[in-house]
Amino acid sequence: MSAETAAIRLTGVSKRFGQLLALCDISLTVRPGEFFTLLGASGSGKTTLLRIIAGLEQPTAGEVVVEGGSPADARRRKLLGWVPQSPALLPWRTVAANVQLLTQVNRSANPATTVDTSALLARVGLAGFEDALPHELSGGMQQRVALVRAFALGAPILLMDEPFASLDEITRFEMRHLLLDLWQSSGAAVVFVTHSLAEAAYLSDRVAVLTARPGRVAAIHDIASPRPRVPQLEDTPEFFANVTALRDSLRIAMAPESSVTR
Amino acid sequence: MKIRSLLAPILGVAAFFGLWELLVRVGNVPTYALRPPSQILRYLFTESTGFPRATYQTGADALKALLIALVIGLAFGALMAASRWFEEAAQPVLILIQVTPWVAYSASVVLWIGGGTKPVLFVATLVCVPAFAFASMTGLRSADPASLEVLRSVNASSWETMWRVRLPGALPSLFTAARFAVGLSLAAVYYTEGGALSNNGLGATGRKALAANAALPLWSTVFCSAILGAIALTSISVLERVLLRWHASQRRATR
Repeated sequence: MSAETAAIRLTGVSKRFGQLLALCDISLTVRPGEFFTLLGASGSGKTTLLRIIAGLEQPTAGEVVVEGGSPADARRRKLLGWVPQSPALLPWRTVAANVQLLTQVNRSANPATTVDTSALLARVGLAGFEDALPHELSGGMQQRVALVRAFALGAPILLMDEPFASLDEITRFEMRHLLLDLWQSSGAAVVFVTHSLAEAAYLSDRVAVLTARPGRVAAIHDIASPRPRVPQLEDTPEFFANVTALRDSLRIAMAPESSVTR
Repeated sequence: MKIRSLLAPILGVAAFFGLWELLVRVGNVPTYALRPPSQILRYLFTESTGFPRATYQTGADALKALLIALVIGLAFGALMAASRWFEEAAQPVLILIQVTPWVAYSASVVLWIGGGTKPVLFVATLVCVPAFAFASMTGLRSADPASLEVLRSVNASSWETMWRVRLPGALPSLFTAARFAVGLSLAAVYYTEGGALSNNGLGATGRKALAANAALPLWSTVFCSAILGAIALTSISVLERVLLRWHASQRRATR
């Protein structure tokens, strides 16, 4: 794949925090419009890797190219939609105003066509909540607002850092369906960080399994399930097979260095 | 508003005045020292002249000093929040201003700047700056790191971040500082007015009354100052309820 057709290209990326080697020699390519998941246990440096892609953290070595430029360039041009672990909504802004926050700053980089945020809110079941304040919403509703805030940018790349980690299992199940629905009509490439096998198997086109301390890419899995994916997919043998394959891969990745056969 | 929530403070104040009235009448307090509230009210409403103007003068000066102190305090707070070095340089000076009894130097300020309103505004502003500076520093710094990062992800300028995230987030601590500064500003204005007699405020009226051993006008100035303070605190509460609708402190728990 040439550099032009890659949404994100990482070459030999390493990150060191003092004595600790967090990420070691990571090379990855994320295609335009692809749903790409970084799967790993805590401590595998997957969040650090996502932050490096966003330019919120500098790699110790290696090169990161995002939409043909540096991560800092991508942020300047508003090409990245960032979804943090916590919804990070501004408590004094209404739902509608929180969703519009990112289009109100760095305005010169806004795209020519604007995204209809009230339609997006309606799609995630928040019609009628435009004037609500965040504290009046449940955790799942807040995270939906955070998703819409990122999609409202109309950016070609979305970076999501375990956005559903703090939600209960039932809500998480609904959220991954909602996310796919939003993503499919956006055409954006997503890099999704998670430690949930079910999320990875349900959402992704490809899953990169990371080892821990240092984080290395142990394996990359293709998830071939056809799209559009529906919640019933999670009851199929195909889905279980994918979850099992990811679990095995993760188990090997988490094993002590000496026992890993390469 | 519920009648009960209006009735309670009125009853409280009435009880306080009743007790005061009783103590003065029964307790044999000399008339030059303390007067019962009934006499003060009668004096204020029937015999005295110039109190509305004096009250206005003192109130306006206290408000001006508060607003100037807020602006200066915000500027200091923003610089301190942005730079540890500036914080370390400014902190001892602000603490010095905060802990030095201003009554000790206010007379010298009058000698230095001269009479009239200028020394009054100077002292009152000076004593209120530290509270606003420390409150803005803490408030601006306590912005949610995740929210700041969301703004960084689209390269928002530091001015945009300040205006949209840090400043609204600092409002709760600024309101706390304002509640504290109201009393400080009123006291500094009143006392310095007494030193700079050319001014027509309550402090000057009170100082003249004190010199003439006139308890009624003196206590009337106290009474009017208290009303000013009550108006100021009520206004702050109303503003808080409007601007901090989102904040935990303003959400009523249902009992």
